Amino acid sequence: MLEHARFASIFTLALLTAAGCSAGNQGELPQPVSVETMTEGDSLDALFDRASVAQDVPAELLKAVAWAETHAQMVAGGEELEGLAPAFGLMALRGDQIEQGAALAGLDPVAVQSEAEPNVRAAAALMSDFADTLAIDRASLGAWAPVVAAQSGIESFAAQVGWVWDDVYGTLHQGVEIEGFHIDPNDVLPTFPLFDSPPTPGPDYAGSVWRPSPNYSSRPSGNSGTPHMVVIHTCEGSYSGCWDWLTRSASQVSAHYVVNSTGSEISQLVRESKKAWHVAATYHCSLNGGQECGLDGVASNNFTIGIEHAGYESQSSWSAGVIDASAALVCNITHDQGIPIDSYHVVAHGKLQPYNRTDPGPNWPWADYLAKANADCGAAPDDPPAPPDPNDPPNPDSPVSIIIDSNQAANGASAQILVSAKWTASTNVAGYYNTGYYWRSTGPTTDLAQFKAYLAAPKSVIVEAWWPAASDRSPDAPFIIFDAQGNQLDTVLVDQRQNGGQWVQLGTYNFTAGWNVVALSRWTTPGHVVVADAVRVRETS
Amino acid sequence: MTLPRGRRRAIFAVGAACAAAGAGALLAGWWLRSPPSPGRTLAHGTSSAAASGVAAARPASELGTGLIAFESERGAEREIYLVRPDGSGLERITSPPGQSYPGPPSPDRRRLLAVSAEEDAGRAHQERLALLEPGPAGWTSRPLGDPSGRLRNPAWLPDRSGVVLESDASGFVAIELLRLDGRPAERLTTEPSGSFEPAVRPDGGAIAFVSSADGNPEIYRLELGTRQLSRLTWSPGEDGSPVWAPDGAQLAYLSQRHGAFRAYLMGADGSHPRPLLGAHDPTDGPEGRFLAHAELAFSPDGSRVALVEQREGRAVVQIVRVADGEVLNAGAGRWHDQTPSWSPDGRHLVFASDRNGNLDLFVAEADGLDPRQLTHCPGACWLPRWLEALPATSAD
Repeated sequence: MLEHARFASIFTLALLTAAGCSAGNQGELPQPVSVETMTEGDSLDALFDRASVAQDVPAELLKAVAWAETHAQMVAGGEELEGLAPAFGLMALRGDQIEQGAALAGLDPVAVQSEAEPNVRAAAALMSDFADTLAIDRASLGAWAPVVAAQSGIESFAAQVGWVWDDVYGTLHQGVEIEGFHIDPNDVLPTFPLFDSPPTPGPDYAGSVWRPSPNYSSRPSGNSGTPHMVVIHTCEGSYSGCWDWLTRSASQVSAHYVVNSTGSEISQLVRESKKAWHVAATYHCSLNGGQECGLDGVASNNFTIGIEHAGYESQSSWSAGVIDASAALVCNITHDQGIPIDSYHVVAHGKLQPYNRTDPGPNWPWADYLAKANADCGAAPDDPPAPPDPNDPPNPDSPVSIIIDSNQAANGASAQILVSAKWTASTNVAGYYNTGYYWRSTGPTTDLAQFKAYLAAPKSVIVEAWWPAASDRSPDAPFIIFDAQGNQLDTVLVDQRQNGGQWVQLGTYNFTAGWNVVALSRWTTPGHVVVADAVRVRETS
Repeated sequence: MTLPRGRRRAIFAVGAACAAAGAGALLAGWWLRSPPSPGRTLAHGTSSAAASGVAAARPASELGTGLIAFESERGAEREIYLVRPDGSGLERITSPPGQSYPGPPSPDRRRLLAVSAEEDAGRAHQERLALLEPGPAGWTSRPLGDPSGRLRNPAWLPDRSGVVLESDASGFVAIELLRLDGRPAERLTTEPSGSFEPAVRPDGGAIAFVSSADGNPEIYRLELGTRQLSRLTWSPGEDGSPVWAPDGAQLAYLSQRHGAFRAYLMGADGSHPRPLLGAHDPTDGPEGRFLAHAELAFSPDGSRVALVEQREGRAVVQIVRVADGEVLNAGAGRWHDQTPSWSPDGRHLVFASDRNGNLDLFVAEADGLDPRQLTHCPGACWLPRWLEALPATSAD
């Protein structure tokens, strides 16, 4: 933790210094000059190479930032997050960055905002300036990590860690291969601290990371304060920057969840039972003497649950990963809250206006999205679920025995499997339960596979897991047990190299009424795989 | 250009935001490459012509009569304006505080409902229904009912005695009946998951609306006299956005029963549901992947339905002949049309389109052909509602 604190203060100093330098040196900067602009046949690779040479910033780093910020698309961000200036260009420059970057690179700010090459040049100039201030070794790609963090404008140290490790250096690690834009995979590690303990799962969605925001209030009592709608937002920016902003008390905005650009991670910021401030936060307490800052009175917030998605409304496509992960989240929310999954109850932000001309977002795949959410909840879109029969409630006294299979189609109404698109379905190793299993490499991010069991009444239960064993399996695969209130009951490490093809007892627990969760984490000893196959929950005799 | 298609589009989008004129030129270029239909053009590239100049090219009798109310976005302002079909008489009829949006015209097409959104005491987002009426000193605005957090989809009773609408005043999205005589609003639906999109049968005796009470969105009919409720659609997937034919014998609606939302017709009792376009039902083709139909509007005589056909990268107003489902204005450009509204005499249609860059209003013939640009707005102009010409006074 000492190391974290030291880094945070260095960044604060760096940001202040850089801002001061830019203003102070403005008189010595060259006047705006024309920059070679993209021509027919030109590629983004060439553009980034030119910016790299001009500012002595590694081209692959510039490209990784561009990919993490905008997936290398020219954006003209909207003002989605109240108080946060919109982002522009391939590099998502915001607010003062445009003027400062333009000044440093000797460019026209209008061009920096609206044209690809000046935008990258300005961002490169800003990064070069940070590199000077931080006195980094420019020849070392990993040494640029503090510059990447400073350039992002992200305040929270945890968000800086995510931005540096997952978003930017994760892009370098994986590489990018699209027409005219290439990043060769690179094993470079950022010179940047990493958390030494796994984050806490979100209280309402165990597949999320709990990053609580102070920006929430109570829902009113009665039907108008019951969640009835899920509202889909786009961050108009990156994932780390998004949840960083929404967890700052000064921002006075929030959402219940934020999904990253690949769907590999979801943050929960506000409990679903509380009111997040994600819809048209019209009340500014700063304009009212700082009074009643928790009293934003937007009615839509009373009965909605808000999901932000890293990215931009103007982007031309959304990754299958983010759609899958968000659909699984919507399934979870609607299942827990009794909300129908349809276009009247899962709506775009714009649809909350009296009339709107941009909804649904031009490229958000609404039909596929709702179909996936329905499928995740066990209902194909052409086979809607039968309405609950009020004369046939589940008998709370019958003995409980629930098997949660990795094949959702095999699960009954009391069982549900939730995995992100990062988990791979497989039948390669024999000994699996039913039709197959999911696996994922171990690593330092949270991406829980959740086996969920619904209990009508509290029970003492034995929890068991099933997996096909193999030599590449994790010797310490962590199963984390939660009750329906989200209380973490236990963490059990199992050796998945052994005891395959059978039920292995994890422990005996007091489950509560509602959806209890047995989650398998990938955050454990690296170099192995963890296997999510099946879980059984049965009442103690 | 070696950039992938998606990125080209994104770069262009920035250009459009920052240089509308240039984007307009590009779009006009696209139009030039689109084959016009025989004999008549599909669009006019009138990006720089003054509205009056466009109108002057035709006799006034061909331009339509009455007034067109519409939404105009100017900076943060969202206000309702009026313009004559010949482009003259531009007038703003609402004013801050708050943002006002035009609702449906009254059955006599001489008044207009409006929904205004504003903040109460600087804190709560509130919406209010208002009746806009012409008077000797200009247009006046009379509030209807109490403000609420959400007021949506108001629809007139045919005798102008009241309005049904979505409201959250008594919980999450119920349909309420609001009489204009000042009586308290009456709640018509109680489904906890909400009721949506009320449409009043032309005789005023019933409403159609949407509810997910039976698992997914279906259309229901509620008789206002007996309060008898009937379910009209039974298909898998969503059914919604009901619109009554002028004779009340049929309903047009959007249905997802075969994947994408498509326009359907059914009897007033839910009988004989069928695709509106019949054998002309849209398919994926060279003009792009079919995404959905939207924004159905019956012509006053019921013989035609205007709708928006949405494909990848484009959305086009189409006029469909109800008798055989034929699309009367086949042909499409790479632009986005929306919010069609018929003239009271059914001879013209007004809609919003970005075909010349900015989102502006266009007026077309009843067959959807020969659209001409009506407005040249500083920001987006959309949501047109066609009113009758005003009498000398507002007396009934």
